[in-house]
Amino acid sequence: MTNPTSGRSAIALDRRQFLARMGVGTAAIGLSGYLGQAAAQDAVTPSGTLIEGGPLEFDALAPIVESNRAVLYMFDPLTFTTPDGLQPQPNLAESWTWDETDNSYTFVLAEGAAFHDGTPVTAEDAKFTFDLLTNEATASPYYAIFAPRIAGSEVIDPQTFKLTLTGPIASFLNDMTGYSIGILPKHLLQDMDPASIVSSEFATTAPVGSGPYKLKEYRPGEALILEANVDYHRGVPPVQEVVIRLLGDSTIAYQQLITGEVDVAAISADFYEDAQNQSNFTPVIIDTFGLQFIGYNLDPATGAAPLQELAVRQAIAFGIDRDLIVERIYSGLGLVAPGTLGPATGCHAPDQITTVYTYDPDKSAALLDEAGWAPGDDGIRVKDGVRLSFELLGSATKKTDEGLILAIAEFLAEVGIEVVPRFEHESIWDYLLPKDFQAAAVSFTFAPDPDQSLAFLSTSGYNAWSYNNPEVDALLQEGIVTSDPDARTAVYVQSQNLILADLPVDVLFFDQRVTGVNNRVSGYVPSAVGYYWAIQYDAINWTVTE
Amino acid sequence: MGRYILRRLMMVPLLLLGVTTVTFIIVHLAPGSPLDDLRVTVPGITDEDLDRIARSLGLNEPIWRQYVNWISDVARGDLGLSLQNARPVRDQILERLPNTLLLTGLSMGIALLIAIPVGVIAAVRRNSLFDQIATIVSAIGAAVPSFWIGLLLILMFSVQASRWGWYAMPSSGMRPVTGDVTLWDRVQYLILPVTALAIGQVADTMRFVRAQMLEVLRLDYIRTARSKGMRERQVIVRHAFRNALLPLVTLIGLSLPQLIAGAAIVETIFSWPGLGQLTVSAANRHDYTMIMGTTIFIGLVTLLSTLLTDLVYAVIDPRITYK
Repeated sequence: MTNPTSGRSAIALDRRQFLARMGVGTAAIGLSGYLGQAAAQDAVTPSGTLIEGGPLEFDALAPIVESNRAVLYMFDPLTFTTPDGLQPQPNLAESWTWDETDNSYTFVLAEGAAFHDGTPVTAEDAKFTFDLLTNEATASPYYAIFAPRIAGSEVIDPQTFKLTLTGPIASFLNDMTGYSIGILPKHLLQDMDPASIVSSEFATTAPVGSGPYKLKEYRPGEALILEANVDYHRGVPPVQEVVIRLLGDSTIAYQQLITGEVDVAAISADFYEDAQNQSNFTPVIIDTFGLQFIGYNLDPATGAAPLQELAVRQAIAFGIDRDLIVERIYSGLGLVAPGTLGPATGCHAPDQITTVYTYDPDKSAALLDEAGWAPGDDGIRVKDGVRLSFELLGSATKKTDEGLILAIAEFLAEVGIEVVPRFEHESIWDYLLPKDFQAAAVSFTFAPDPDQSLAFLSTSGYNAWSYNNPEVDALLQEGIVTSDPDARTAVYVQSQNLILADLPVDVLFFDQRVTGVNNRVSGYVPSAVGYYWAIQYDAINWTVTE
Repeated sequence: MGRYILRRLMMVPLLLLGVTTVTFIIVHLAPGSPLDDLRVTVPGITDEDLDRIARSLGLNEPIWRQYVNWISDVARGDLGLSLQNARPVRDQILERLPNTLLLTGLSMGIALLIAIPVGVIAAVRRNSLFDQIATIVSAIGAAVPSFWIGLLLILMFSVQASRWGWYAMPSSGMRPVTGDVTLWDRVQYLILPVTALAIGQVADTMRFVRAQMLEVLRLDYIRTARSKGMRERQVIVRHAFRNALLPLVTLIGLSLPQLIAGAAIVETIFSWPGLGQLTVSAANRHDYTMIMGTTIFIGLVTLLSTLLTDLVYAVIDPRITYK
């Protein structure tokens, strides 16, 4: 490599594995429950060991350069977000205020919060962390997400930290925890060249954070062993040791769930049915921030001509039996529901979505008849000499894409639409962004906030569909600056109805994952937020019985 | 002899250059890139971020340039940093090496201990019931891939055993992840993967030993020895076996790289933190520097062990000399 010191740990966690590998338990507890619990636990002596199935390797163990479950155990962000409703809650910051006049947050840091080496966490550390994040030289994959939003930061006093944004951004606190921007210890890193932090011992093998767990031993390829931070400012975690076994493979993880060698692990859809018959662990379904849809290339220059017609896209939407697809191809793991915002997001309001497509092949055929597409000799419809045919792109490396695309092809053949399957080995985005596609099966993961500008704003870098509806743009921008949950929901109900009427993408279902949890574990909170924050949210509530 | 060794050693860099060039081209031509996952793992990551990361890793340069950069680092003894976890490739290879040697060394040792006597006895008692059973069993053992045996072992002795509430073997890993690790713990974790690896090796070696013995037993000097009235045991052990052993040295010598390269698939299914697993995972994640690091390391070991085998030959077989 030209510059070995700046070698960036390119791949962060495998998010899909990571997403599926999260906290689980009974029902989500409210904030009051969490606070009460924390206070009650001061007298607890941690005991027992919880073993998680993890990825084959952790690319880094420090925030800013990486976000994974290990980072979440060891590093606390300023706030965390509740699993239900995505509401920011105090973490390292015990309180904060928002100043509209200069778009700034002022955080008051919790008394008694300290890094694992005993040094107190101060506003200096917070400023240092955000300076690193917004320094281009730090090889952070989150730089371009955060740098344009942060105008500056300031240490008011050792316990008070002010962060000025470039405008009102309702999703900011969620994003901060969503990308697990944990606070880094300035005293250990200040003399380091920002570019070399990613390959430093601190980031690769010897992290020091302020989270509920600290690193005891890292055995690459084997396990990451964490022990309870008994000085944790929010209470003593009841579980003495958390071990993340580095397994990677879903089959190994599953067999270890059966043998009890791991207590918590993601279960791949293949094993979901079998998992329901197991006695020593419980499969728990978790709604995620992922969305499976068909994305259309609406750029007339590069897209398929028939797909530019709204009637054709509507016919497709009515022509696909989503429930059957979820049941047969995804082992039932997927939620078919109206809208583009799933149940995991804060502004989920399926009852208010008025544009809904339910499977109705007759209606689908009627729409095509009406639009002038008449069945040709081979059953495929034709209009003005153009066959109603399009290419549907999928990933050759994703097992479910094959089933999905063939199923869609079969459903649409029924109503006289020809789907030509196309599979590519490269990342699907290598084809979507240069608009080298007509339609594609896309699994889109949003950050944990109801803002979906990433997919639907006309100027978004991910708007591969060339979607452009000024009304939707205006609503999405309004949503970003609206912090009142009800008002925000109302804005997003409007934008969803417009998007669904325009059909730049055809939502198939909301992704669900399943995690197996040994019956000896209790207090885990199952939630999409848990992918990122269950640890901060409830690490001080889990217990294990021997 | 000294000049011969020198000449062989001088070939090593050239051969490694060839091997690494071909590998480098292949891994870079394979579809996908080390940055592919970022689109999925970091929702909203921008093209600007991806470009910046690619630049910091040197991935934006033409392939030939990347190769020149890499090989000149290697010439200075620097295998670079992993593209995925930013740790030095050399450290990671060295930290995995003992684990792999333990697994493969043990299975090869056990395989030889079983295969040699069985092969000799099968050859001496040709067409006996023992020979027939040994031949059939070894044919099966050689035909069934070791990873399949491994999966079967896990299913039987770990998963089903624990379902039935019997004593269950650890299904994967190298040692317990909690508490103090005793020798018995280590042995328990070794039994299944070593068995999976050894079965195939026993079968191959046993067939080889048997064939060699049969060949030697037909030779004139064996008949001479017998006709001189030597005891059968002495004929077999001192005359036949020692000569049949010579080709076995080649077999063992040439499987030394296998000791290092590990049993990639067996390590993967048993989650054994060895070099093979490291290589497989690097290949899956397009970790170019890691793939190249293990390639050059295994290439070097292969070349050196071939040389070593040739030299050992000269020592044990007086008919062979090198100039």
